[in-house]
Order: sequence, then C-alpha cells, then structure tokens
Amino acid sequence: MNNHLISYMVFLPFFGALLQAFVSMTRSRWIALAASLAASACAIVLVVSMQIQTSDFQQMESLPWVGSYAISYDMAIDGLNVLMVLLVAILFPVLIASEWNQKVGVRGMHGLFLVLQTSLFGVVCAQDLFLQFFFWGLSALPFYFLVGIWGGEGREKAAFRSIVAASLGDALIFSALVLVYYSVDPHSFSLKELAGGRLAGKMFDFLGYELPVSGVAFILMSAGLSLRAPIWPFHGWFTEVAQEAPSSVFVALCAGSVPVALYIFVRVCYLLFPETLSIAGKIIVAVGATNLVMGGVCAVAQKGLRRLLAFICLSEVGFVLTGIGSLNSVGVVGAVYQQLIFGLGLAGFGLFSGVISERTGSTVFLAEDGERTFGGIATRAPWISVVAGVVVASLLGFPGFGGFVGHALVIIGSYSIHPFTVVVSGGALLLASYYLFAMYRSVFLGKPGVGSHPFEDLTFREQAYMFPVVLSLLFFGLYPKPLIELIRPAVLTVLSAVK
Amino acid sequence: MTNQIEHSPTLLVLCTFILLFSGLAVFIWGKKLPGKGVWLVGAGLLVLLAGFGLDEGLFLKETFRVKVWMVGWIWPRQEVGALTVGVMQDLVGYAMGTLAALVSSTLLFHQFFLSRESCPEKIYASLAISTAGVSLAWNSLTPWLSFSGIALTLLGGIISFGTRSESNLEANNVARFAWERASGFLLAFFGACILTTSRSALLLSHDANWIIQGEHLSSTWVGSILLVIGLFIQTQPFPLLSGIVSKSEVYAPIRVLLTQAFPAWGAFSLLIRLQPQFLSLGLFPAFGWVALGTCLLAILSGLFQNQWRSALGAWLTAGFSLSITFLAFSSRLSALGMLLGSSLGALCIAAAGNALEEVCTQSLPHQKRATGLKIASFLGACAGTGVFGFVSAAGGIHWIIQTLQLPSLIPPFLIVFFLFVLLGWRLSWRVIRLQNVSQASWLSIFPIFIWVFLSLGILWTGTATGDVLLGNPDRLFSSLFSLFFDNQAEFSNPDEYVTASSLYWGILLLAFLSAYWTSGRKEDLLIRIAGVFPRATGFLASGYGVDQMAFQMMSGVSWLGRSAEGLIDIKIWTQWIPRGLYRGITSISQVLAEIDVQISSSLEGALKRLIEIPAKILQLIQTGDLRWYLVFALSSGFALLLHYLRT
Repeated sequence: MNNHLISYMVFLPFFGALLQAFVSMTRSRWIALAASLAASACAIVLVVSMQIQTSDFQQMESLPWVGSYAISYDMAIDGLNVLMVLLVAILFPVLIASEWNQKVGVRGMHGLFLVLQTSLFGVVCAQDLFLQFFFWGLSALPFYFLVGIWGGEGREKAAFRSIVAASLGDALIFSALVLVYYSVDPHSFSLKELAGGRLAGKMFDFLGYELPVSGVAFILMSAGLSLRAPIWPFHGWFTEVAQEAPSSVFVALCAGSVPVALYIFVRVCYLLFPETLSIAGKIIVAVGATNLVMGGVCAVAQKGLRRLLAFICLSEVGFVLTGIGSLNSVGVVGAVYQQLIFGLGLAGFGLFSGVISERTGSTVFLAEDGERTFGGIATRAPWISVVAGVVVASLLGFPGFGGFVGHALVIIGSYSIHPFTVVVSGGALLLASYYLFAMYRSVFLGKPGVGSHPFEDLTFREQAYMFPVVLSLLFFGLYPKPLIELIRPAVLTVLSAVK
Repeated sequence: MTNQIEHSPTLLVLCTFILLFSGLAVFIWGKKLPGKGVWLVGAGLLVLLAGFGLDEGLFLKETFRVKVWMVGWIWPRQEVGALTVGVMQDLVGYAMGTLAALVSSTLLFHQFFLSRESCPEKIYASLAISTAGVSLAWNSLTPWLSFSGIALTLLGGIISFGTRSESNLEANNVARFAWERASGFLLAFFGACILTTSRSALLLSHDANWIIQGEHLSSTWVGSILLVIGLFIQTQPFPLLSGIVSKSEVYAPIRVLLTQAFPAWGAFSLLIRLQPQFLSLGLFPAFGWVALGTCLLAILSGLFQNQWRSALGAWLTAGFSLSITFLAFSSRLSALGMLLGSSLGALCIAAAGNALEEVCTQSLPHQKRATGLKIASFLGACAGTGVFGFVSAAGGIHWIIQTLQLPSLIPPFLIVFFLFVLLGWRLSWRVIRLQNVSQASWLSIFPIFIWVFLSLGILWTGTATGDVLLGNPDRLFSSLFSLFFDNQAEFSNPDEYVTASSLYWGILLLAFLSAYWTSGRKEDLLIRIAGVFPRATGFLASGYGVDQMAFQMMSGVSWLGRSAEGLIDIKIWTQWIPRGLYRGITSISQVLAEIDVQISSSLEGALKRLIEIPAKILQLIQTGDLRWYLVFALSSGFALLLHYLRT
C-alpha cells in the first residue's frame, strides 16, 4: 500500500522553494523554514511509525514513471536508510535557521537548501537505481550555485572544481547503472529486482575481453562515489570547498551529502554486488584506514576551523568505511549508525565555527607565526563553548554521546576481521584527541588572542537551531537501542547475501 | 518497600544521578544563583550519602549479598559484541562511593578559600560531577558504566581546572589534562572494545573469567594490554609528568582531588576489580615493573621541584604508581591501602599548604591555626607514607612480605619505597616551614582532620595499628578489607614477619631522618644540590624533557600533514593535474589541427586538379581556341571506336 507521506516529505521542500521565490523577503524565510520543518515532521512521523525487528520495507510508495525503460517512482524506508531520513530531517531546518540573517539573496539560498533537501530525501528513499541517480545528480547543482554565489574570494574555482568532481563521479555512476540495466533480462533499474545476487556470474564483452558485470559495475560505482565523498587522495575539491563555502553550505556538504554518499555505497553494493564485496572488503577497509590516518595527520596541521572540519570529515569517512568493509553485522550496524552520528557531529562543529566566523569574520585560530587569533571565548560566550565541548566529546566517542556507540560497534565488529586496521584507527583517534583539544584550547581558553573581537554568546535563534543537534547527539548516545533495533535486521539480511 | 530497595539497585543509581544533575544544574545556572550552588551540591552529596547509608545498612543485615543488575545497552546482551551496562553493589563499591562523597562534602566547608575563586559555582559543580563519576565507576558491573564514571571524573577535572582558564598558563594546563586523560580513556575504551569482540559481556564480578578456552588469545591480550595502559595513563605517570608538576594557581586541594585523585580512583575501580584477570594473563607482574619504574621517575622529579605544589603532584602520582605495583606484586588489599593513604595524605598536605601559603592580611595573626595546619600536614605525611596506625601501613607491610618471596627484587623495591617516603616527608617539612601564622578559618581546618580520620587503619582494617602486628592482637572489629576481597590479611610466617617489619620500619625511620636532614633544617639540601647541578636537576624537575620531545613529535606530524596536503591538494590537484590536462588537451588539439590543415590542403589540391582539366578545356572552347565541332567529331570517333572494339 502506497504511503504518500514519503512523497510529501520529498517534495514539500521543493514546492516551498518555488513558493518562497514569489513572496516578500520576510515571508520567504518563514515559508522556507515551514516547508523544511513540514518535510522533517513527515520524516519523523515515518521514522517513529516504523516497527523494530523487521528487515522489510515498511514505508513504501511505488508508481510507474518511464515505462519503456522500466523506470519507476519506487520509494521506501527500511532499516538501512531510516537514519539518513532522520539526519536530513534534522539538518535542513537547522541550516535554514542558521542562514536566517543572510543579507545577500536569502531567497535564493533558502531555495537551494530546499532543493537540496528534496534531492537528499529522494536519494535516500529511492529504491530504483535511475530514480536514485536522478536525485543524486540533482543534489550536485545546488552546491555549485551555493558555493559559486555565496562563497569566499575563490568561490568560482571551488564551485567549478566541485561540479567537475561531481559530474565525473556521476558519469561513472551512470556507466555502472547502464551496465547493470542491460545485463539483466528483462532490463531493470529496480533495486528489489536486482538484489539477491542476480548479477552474479554475468559477463560482458569489452574489446574482446570477457569482464564480470558485478566487478566492473562495483568499481565504477565506488569510483563515482569516491568523487562525491571525500576519499584520500581524491579530496582536493572538498578541502577547497571547505575553504570557500559559507559554513552552512559546507555543513550541508559534509554532514548531509557525504553520509548520503556512504549510504548509497552501502545500499547499492551490499544489494547488487555481494560477491564482489566479499572480495573487496579488505580494500574498502584499507581505503578507510588510509582516510583515517591521513585525515588525522592533515588535521594536526590545520590552523583554520573549516579546513579542520574537512579533515575531520575525511577521518570519519574512513571510520565508517572500516565498518562497512568489515562485513560483520556489528561493524556494519556501527557504520550505519556512525553515518548519522558523524553527520550530526560535523553539523555541530560547522555551526559553531559558523557562529565564530559570523562574529569575527574569520575561522583561522592560529596565525602563520603560531600566534593565537581567538582565545578566551569560553568566558565571554560560555554557551558556544559548551556546544563545542559536546561536539568534541561526541567526535572522540565519549560515553553518553553518539560517537561512543558508533565507534564501539565499528571497533568491535572490525577487530576480529581486520585487527591491524583497528589498531591503526586507535592511533587516529589519539591524534583526534590531540587536534580537537588543541583547537579547543586555542579558540575557547586562555587570554583573548591578537585578533580578538568583542564576542557575544549564542542568541536565542542560535540556541534554537543548535539545540536539536546537541540534543540528538546526547539522546542517540544515551539511548541508541531503538535505532539499533531498526537497523540490525536490515543489516543482517543484506549481510546474509554476502556470506 | 524495604524489600524492593534490598533487591534492586535503583536507589543508589537514583541518588548518583541526583548528585550528577545537581552538579550539572549548578554548572549551567550557577552564575544566576550566586551562593545557592554550594547548597544544591551539598544537598546532592547528602542524598548520595543517605543512599549509601541506607543501602549499606540493608546490605550488612545479611551476609554480604552482592546486588547485581544488568541490561543490554548497545546490541542484544546475550550476543557476542554486546555492550551491557550493569550495577554491582558490593561492599568495596559502597565504601569507595561513600568515601568520595564524604571527602567532597567536607571540602565544601572550605568556603573560606573556595569563595575567593573566580567562579566557585563551577568548582561545586565539578565536585558533584566527579563524585558521581567515582560512585558510578565503583558500582558498575561492566566496564562500560565504569567508563562513564571515569569520563565524569575527567569532566569534573576539566571544569575545575577551567575555572581559571583566562590565563594562558592555566588554559595550557586544562588542555593538557584533557588531552592526556582523554588519550588514556580512549586507549582503555579501545581495549575493552577489543575484549568484547569474543565475549557476550565483560563482567567485573569476582567469579568472572575472561580467559576463553580454545580462543586465540590475541584479542584478550591486545585488549587487556590496551585497557591496562589506558587506565595507567589515568593516573598520569611518566611520561605525562610535566602536566602534574606544572605551575597552577587552582586551589591546591581541588587540584589534588579533582584532577588527580578522583580520576585515578575511577581508573582503580577497574584495575582493582580486574586484578585477577590481569594476573591470570600474566600482565600484572610485568606491568608492575613499569609502574615501579614510573614511580621512581616521578619521585626523582618531585624531589627537585621548586614549588611544594608541583612536588605534591609528583608524590601523589608516585603513590598511584606504587599502588599499581602493589596490585601487580602483592594484593588488592595492599593496593587499596596505599591508594587511600596517599590520596587522603596528599589532600591533607595540599589543604594545609594552601592555608599556610596565604599571605596574612588580618591584624591579628593566628598562630594556633597555623599549628593546627602543621599538625595536619604532618599527619598527612603519616597517612601517605605508611606509618603504623594508618591504612597505607597495611598496604606497605603486606607488599614487603610478598617481596620476600623474590629476594632479588627486594633492593629495587626498597629503594623506591625509601624515596617515596622521603619525598612525602620532605613535602611535609616544606609545608610546615611555610609560615607560622594563618588566617584560615577553623571551619576549613577541621575537614583536614576528618580526612586524617578517614585514612586511619582502624577504620579499614579493624586494628588500631592498621594490620601491622603479628596475629593482630589489637583487633577491635572485623576488617573491611577482608570483606572487600574475601581474604584475611594476616601474617602466617613469624620469621618472614620479623624480617619484613624490620625492613619496613627501618626504611620508614631512615627516610624520615633523611627528609629532616635534607629539608627539615634551615637549609634545604636538595635545593643546594639543585644549585650546584642546575641542568641535571632541571632536567629531572621538568619531567625529563618529554615535553620538548612530544613537541618535536607533534611538529613532525604537523609537517607530515602539511606536506601531504601540499602535495595532494596543492601540487597534484591544483597544479599538476590541471596543468597536465591542459597540456595534454592542447597538444592533442594542436596535432589534430595540424592534421586537419594538411588533410584540408591535400583535399583542396586534389579537388583543384580534378576541376582544372575540364575547366581548361571548357575555357579553350569558350575562348574559341578550340572548335567545338572538332571536339564533338573526335569524341564521337572515339566513342564509335570504343564501341566496336568492345563488340
């Protein structure tokens, strides 16, 4: 039975974006926020109404779209994507509220955020490969405009690099899709129809060579996604966007788009290429470990909050990949859980760095000569320092915060299969404790630095939009049970295909 | 109702959380309610004490039945990899929780000093949070809840240290504290996670056995090693001494209690409970040597400190290391005795030193108060160094007796113990010599004697001398230690007892006299030595140059990060690949353009030639140079000829 609430959730932001473009600026803000909140409310209703201990799709909506190519509007929510629905639902109202006082083109910015919300909800819920690709391709465009119009001095270059990386990635993904589509008879884009090892043993001819469909499509898909999620060493565009994009836009990228890219990887690869995944598990873990270590090492060298955030994201992606590649139920559940938690953690980091940037006009906390530019914010603005403390604690995985759950599950799940990688990831966590506390010291403690400005604490609006993020980090850290019971059956089902 | 309390651990958990929330409330809203914070935290501590009192009373009614309650937290509890939380209420947990609550409550009476802090509410909050942390850590059935307790003690330490974070020095101290302890915490957490990979639940109860038959020991080994290292770091031994001996203006007892003692008590909750597991894995005797080595390094650093506060930090750290040595080579009883004695002793010396250090502003100096503080300092040293009558004596003498089984180990053990006692007494002398007057209120002096009382052997061992006499003729009531660990702490072999006690008392006396000779007289001998060998003693006092080395190492990592970033982000992606692509594309397009030009010109030439011949003929005809009928005739002739030739 079709549940139209999914469509309301996906398209309400889009219609909100259209509507707010034709009204006055004051009204447009409220319409944008209302549209985003309404979609989020639909999402939360959908999530709350889900039953635990089942791996079936629980909320579904299916309509034919392009019949001649067997493309359908097939949307559903199950244990694998439920957390991403929740993440997008929490993130976008917060981002719209954070850009409430945007002076330049507020309607455009809010409109693009709403389109982005629609596209990410669409990607997450789509159960048809083409539909998913459609939404995924759509999600690259708002970033191009958001960075190119509202970014810093080097915005054109950063926007260009981001769209080039996204286009290349999308081209590779599309090649994988076409390969998969034509390899099954009757041709299909439906994930449900393609699942269950239907691609196993299929070969195709390329320049006289017989190549396995599953292996080639897996490589194309992985390569394509690695250009949208920051994978070392293909992350150059990402750090440049971090440098140039407004804080809220970069939060949307690293806390929204990146976890969704990882979700696509999990969903598509576990369902479509289980036999390839069983071989590629070690490679995924090796890529994850490289990301973890290089992200950590590069983060130590950072002197600005934005680039630091970019490298923390790189590290977190590595951690999630370690869990995904473990092919172990505990590890994969941890990875899926960590996608939500690191999204929220990075969102919190990006938001408080955005507030600092708004107040001081900069996010550089150490000058070139090593002098501290901030400092002493904790005494002048205690609420910001508390928010930053919660975010740091969650990113490090302290008990009571979301990061603890994700980290623990990934370590437990991965150690028995990849002990060396887990020990390496332990080293990366120690590095994280160094650079995060060093950042905290430089920004929040001590005497005000050389370029310090008068600094106000969080306003009511800022408290209002940071509250859901902080509360989520605490709640999901203290009481993860319901969410884990939602994820676990779905993970066990997809893992059974691999094993 | 009573039955429910007896069988359920909810009361104590509830009391702990009430205290925690009172601390958090004071932390958040303390500034808006000036003067109320102390009452709120005090009420929270009273609630916890009442909870412990009620539970202990009910507990002692029966024959020490341990209350255990467990629930799956993350992952179903019966499966491998489950993270379970559980409460275990046994007598040692009750005692440590009660002790933490008592010490914190009595510290609240130091209003005279605490009210002068820039933000006293934060200190009250940190006291509540840390005490709740110690209570949670000691009343946990699985390590995960203990970790939560340890994390709370770290939070308390950070908040208390952070009250003076406006100065760069204190800000560096708090950042260093947070980083070092967080590193230890993360290592321990990693270790516990690795241990969980092959077990359904990690239990801290007496009957739990972590060795799994037939299992490859790697996860047990790696996990246990990381767990021990992580917990060891919580006590901040070498190479983390620089943070301990750094200068700080934070109220000395607060620094001792919240940044050293409580985090270490939290860590010891796991070390003491897991001692049998670590012994069966063979980790403990090995790790005992590490602890003994770090103890020696901490003492040597402490001996040459210019400030008594720094020396106190080093001494307490050495005490923790010594407790771990006791745990590894002797018994849990010895370790707990030394832990309690050194912590409470250091607290007494810190409070007395801080009060005696204060410059007197009142017209009438109070000599009696200063005398009281000096006595407190003296008793603090007694409590920490194992003088008979104090709880640490039980630990010390049992340790020496165990050492007699391994004669080759006696000299290093005795040297370290001698230096530890020497440093303790040297500290006490230095505090006693600070001033002869003090303006500290009696209300803030009185709690120091409560701490002295809490460190008395009679309270813990039931004997007036602290379990140091053969056959315990001075026993007044049964020993708490025996109830804690299900074993009697009595000496069986009279010969061993005589040797051990002679060695023990001899070392104590020698160390006491040495301390007086070096520090109790007019001229401090060690300071004179430091003047003669400034570089060598400076090296020891600064923590063995570890800071510089760590700085170099982190600079190296930072350089590596910058280089990687420069190579990947700037060189490869911003310069080389775009340039390469540009050059590749332009050169290909140039080649193609040249080929195009050549093809075009060839085609043009061919076309030209093709058109030129008929065009010329037509031109000749047109101009009249060639007659059309002649061409027609010739053409017709050729055509006819060709026709007939073919036929």
